[in-house]
Amino acid sequence: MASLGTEMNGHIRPRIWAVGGGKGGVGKTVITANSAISLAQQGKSCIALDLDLGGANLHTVLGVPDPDRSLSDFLRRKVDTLSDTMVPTPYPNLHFISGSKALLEIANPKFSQKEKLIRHINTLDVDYVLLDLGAGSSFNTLDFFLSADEGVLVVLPEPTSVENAYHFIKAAFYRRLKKATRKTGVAEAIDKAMEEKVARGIQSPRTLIKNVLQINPEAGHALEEEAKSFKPNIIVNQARKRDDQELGNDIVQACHDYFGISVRNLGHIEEDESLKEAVRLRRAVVDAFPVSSFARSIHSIVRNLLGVRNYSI
Amino acid sequence: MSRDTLGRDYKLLDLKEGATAQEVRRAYHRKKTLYSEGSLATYSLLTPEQREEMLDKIERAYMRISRDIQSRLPTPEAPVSPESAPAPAPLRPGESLGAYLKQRREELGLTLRDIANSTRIRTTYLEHIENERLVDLPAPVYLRGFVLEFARVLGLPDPESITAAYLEMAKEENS
Repeated sequence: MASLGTEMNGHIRPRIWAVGGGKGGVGKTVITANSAISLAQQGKSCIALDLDLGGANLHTVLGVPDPDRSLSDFLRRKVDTLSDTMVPTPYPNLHFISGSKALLEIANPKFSQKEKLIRHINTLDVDYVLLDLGAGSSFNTLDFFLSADEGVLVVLPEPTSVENAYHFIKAAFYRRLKKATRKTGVAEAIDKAMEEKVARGIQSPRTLIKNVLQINPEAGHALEEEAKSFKPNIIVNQARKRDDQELGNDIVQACHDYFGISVRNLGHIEEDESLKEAVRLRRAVVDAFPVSSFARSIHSIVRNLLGVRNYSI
Repeated sequence: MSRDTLGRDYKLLDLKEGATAQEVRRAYHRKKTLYSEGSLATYSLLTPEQREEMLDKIERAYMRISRDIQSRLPTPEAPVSPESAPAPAPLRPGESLGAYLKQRREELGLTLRDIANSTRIRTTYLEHIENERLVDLPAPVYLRGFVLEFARVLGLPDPESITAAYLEMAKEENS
């Protein structure tokens, strides 16, 4: 497999990484921006795409003025191709697309537009596209998360954030199963298992699959395969204590034990004063403070994500 | 005990069969911490009942694995596992409960340290229980768990009634 992009229908498509996290203010945007710069610094061509509905500020972290072009120009056919909505950033190899306004327009009713957008993101002529997802686990967010090659969740060492992350993982998993059932026709078995939800005490994906296996073994095995191929990643941000550094591994363990889902821990990021300093300088941390603990963590996370791909091939 | 159960126990603690005693202890403590009440990772994931159930599962898996490892020790003085040892003699009326526990322990070729290792009860307490040194024993609420665990690892039939009898005896002596 070539190191740049993945082949699809004879075309090379970009690798897509989506960064979400269920909760707002966990550092998704800063992590997306700095990871994109880290990739660009390694000579990969990248696009950072802002899909944060509520608080779109990826452009600020990247040092780009709020662009007058966005995805909505593409969806309204004001421009011919998606790449016409790209704007340059101060960083070589890195472009930016604002999608926030467009997302407002394509909210729930226009499912087909979302699908179209996902299709066109896949045709962008770059090595990597990084999606900054909004907070929450709406269907929009989940679908972008699931469309990516690597879905990344940012978690803070706080009960609410951890709870949201579990909720997100479960919601994404069920969404994925639901989509898969359209193909394999196991919807009936899932529905049946879900109807008996209360009586059978189904709380986790693992129990759901167990129940489907009893009702319809063939469908159950199909779901098992789906479960195996669902591999979200997590990052613990703003780690302060030693326990916080272990949190990522603990979540991986708990997801395995209780959901039967393998989550990959990409590493933790320690609290770092250089973040505030970088904002003041209007520069990204990996650029302004390349040897800070934050920058080193970002590089290591990016390496892990790149590695994920090599191992799996 | 079936190999299936044991296989599941090893899996629960994320261990491979053939793990060393130290690896088993480490895995056990890690799992226990993960599912303890103050754990951030499982705080929002489990109901109190599920947490109890999980901790109980971990505890039992650890006990069974510990016994499995002990039974595989190649040394000639390897202790007899309670399952393969001769059935314990029934408790005679009027027999001292402490002496009864001690006799059974020696019959299995286990030292107080062995018992302490598999029950996590301090050897001094085990010794006091055997010698019925009631003044030095912990409060009944702890004592209950200690005696129950002790009787259980010795493979004695009906550990609950032995424990109840022991507590009854201790209560009478103290009053």
